[in-house]
Amino acid sequence: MKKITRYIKLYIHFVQNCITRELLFRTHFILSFSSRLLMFLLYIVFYQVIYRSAVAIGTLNYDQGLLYLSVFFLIDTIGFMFFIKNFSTFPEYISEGKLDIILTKPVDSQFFVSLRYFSLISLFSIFPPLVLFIRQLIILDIALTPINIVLFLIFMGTSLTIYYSFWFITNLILFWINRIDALHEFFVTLWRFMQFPPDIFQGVLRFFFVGIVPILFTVSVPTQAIQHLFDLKAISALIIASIFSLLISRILWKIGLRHYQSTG
Amino acid sequence: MNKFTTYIKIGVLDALEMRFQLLYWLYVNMAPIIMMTYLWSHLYAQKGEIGGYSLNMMVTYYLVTRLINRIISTYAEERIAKDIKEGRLNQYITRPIDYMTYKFGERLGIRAVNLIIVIPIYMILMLILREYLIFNFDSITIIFLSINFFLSLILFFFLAFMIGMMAFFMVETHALNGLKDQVINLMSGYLFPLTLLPEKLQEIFSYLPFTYFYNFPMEVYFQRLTTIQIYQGLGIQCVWIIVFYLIAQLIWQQGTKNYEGIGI
Amino acid sequence: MKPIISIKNLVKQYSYYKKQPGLLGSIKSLFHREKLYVEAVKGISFEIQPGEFVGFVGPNGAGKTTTLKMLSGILYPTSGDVDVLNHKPFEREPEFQKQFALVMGQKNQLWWDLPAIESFLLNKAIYEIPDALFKKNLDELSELLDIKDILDVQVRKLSLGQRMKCELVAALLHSPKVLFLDEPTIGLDVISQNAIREFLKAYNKEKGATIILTSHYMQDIRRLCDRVIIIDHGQLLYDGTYDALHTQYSDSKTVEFTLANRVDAKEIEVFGKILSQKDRTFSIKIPREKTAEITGKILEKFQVDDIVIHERDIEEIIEEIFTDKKMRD
Repeated sequence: MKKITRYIKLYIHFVQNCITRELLFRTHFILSFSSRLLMFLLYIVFYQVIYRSAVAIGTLNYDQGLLYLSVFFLIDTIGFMFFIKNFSTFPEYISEGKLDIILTKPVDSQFFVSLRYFSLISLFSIFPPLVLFIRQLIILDIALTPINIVLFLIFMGTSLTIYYSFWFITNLILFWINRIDALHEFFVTLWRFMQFPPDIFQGVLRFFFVGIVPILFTVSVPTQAIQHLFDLKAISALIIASIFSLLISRILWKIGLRHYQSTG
Repeated sequence: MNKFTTYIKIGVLDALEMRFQLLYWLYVNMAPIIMMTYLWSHLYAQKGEIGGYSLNMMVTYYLVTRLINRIISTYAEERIAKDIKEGRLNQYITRPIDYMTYKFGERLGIRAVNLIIVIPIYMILMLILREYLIFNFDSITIIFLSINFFLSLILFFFLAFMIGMMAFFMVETHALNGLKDQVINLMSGYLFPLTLLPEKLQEIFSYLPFTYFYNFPMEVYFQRLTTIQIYQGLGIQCVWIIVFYLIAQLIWQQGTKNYEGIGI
Repeated sequence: MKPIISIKNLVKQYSYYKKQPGLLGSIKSLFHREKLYVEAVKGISFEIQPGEFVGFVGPNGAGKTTTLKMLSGILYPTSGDVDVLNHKPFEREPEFQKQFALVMGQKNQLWWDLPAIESFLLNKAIYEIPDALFKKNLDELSELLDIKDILDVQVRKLSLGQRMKCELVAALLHSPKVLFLDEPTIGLDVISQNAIREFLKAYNKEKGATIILTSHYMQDIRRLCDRVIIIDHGQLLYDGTYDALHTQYSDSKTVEFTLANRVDAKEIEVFGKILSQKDRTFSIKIPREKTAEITGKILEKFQVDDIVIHERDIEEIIEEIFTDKKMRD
């Protein structure tokens, strides 16, 4: 318990540092936010275009589709808020030797490299999808009870765990292969598949997203939970995947450190 | 035995190192196209034709627009911004060469080398998606497309040049560049064919430069335009080139006027 | 006394790829690259007692930094034993990490866009330094290094010397018992170099901290270190006091003198090897034990305006050790 409060305190410190820094660059801040907002709107337009053409994605109607999209963007921006700045720094850590000092600190190194930098822009970028989420809840007339809210939050947590672990793991390739341009896009590219509901992925890709990179249910399970829908199979797959992926990320980090050459 | 497995491991890692970068590029190029293929296959199962496009046209659309993107992008924004910020502009200004022409030539050269890698990647992609692809080797079409690509290349470069030159006036141009990309994504038909949009919007977009990057060449490729329409389109593109050129010159003059000539 | 640091037969091997020159070479390397191994450290052993100030000397790529990185747990040794403060550094136990610090002249831990004090406060949280101790250490260190009035300035706006001082403070806030310094004075102006040297000397004396330092500047080593460890090509060449280096490796001294009249070089040569000659000023190398005898003769034979006898520069001696070693190889 003492350990947890210590790490929370440390994290608050990280966040304070980052906020102080980001506020120094105001124009950049506004432009980045607009860019994120525009991307979000773009996907709403895409959904509109699809449904305008009198077709549906899976069993979802237009409003359910937008609810799904809003949850996708919620996970996406929350994940970005915590991790994007850290994972894009990995080439500096691993290939250029910036890990050195971190490894001498009495703090868990995985914690440090995963959460050192906080993205304030992404914190603000949460609002647009949040607004859409609330709007869809009202339109779809979904009753909010403690149960569906708590379950929604729990599943968001498990989804973010998977999101984190796999994004982290793909970056560790740098321990073995010296330099790959924009490696942090590796996971994000796969993750973007989830902006569309699982129904569209059949065959090989479905197998891939359940068994190998298990992100297929990361958006759908929380989205269903808030609608009082529970697919037990998908839920158990999600929970198992989150535990395993976190464990694997831990193990691979330890192995990777043995290969760290501290060059640069 | 232990030694033997070590040798194998070394061999595999060795083989992977640089080829991994190639595989990674293949993956980054391929993933979005595969995603769209899954999505549209799902949608076309409900309806044979959407917005005048068949499934095969749709898949071809995504593949070819991505290829066009690789051909016409110069990625000059960052370079130009860097030249300005790091004070390297001096060595150009003081010599009797036109910086814009020089940069255009330089980027063209670099991109040409890049195509050597991009083309095999797209050949592999075509092989994978061969059942869907529509080929059109009509010589007139190819001539029109070549002209269009060339004009797009210039337009794209002018845009990049303008963004890069914003470094005269602001510290960080990265976010502005991202914003520009989102605008292009929306209005050029990069995310979906513009034929899916309401007619009114399509007409407005046809007077803007962006649609000529992706949507227009695809319409030409599918032979959905009359010769007059094609001439009209290329004409509009030329007008935009002149407009962009003038704006770029204006920014250049303003920028160099208050350029301090030192690294900031 | 039990040594605070002890390493035995320490080896570190790196692997890298052979680079082929030219465009053709880089295309070829897409398909095949030769993997090569290099032993940065080839079986080094030594022990260091608490409170010692040890200098690591050696040319670039000698293995100094690699050794420091193994001592601080950044790198896993390929083989051999390392023991620092009764811990195996590569296990990276927090109790161990709270007792030492590493400062690298070429890598910074301070946050560029923020004032140094922010980085100090972060370290306070990381090392769990109690408020009172933090305040005491910060006051003391910033007083000693004279950085009190720049604590609130963005690090990017500081001079290189000021930045290095802040790096030192950041590393020392948790009162480490062992301090590793990798080229702490690199690239600094003379004044800052001196200030940092004075500080390190005092810190070692007053706190009794054990310090290991690598440096290109022989001044650093001479003014600070009681003990010198010379490493080249991953091997230990010398381990002993700074003064003993002279007696052990330098059996000669340099005599520099200026004569009143012009004299032919041949007449000087009989006394010893001429190292340099400039007009009427000569510099010759003479055997240590014959110093008095030869200088006496010179004074007797010529009219001397000025004469100085000095020990040979440590740089020269080390150079000699390295070249001797090469010849032996």
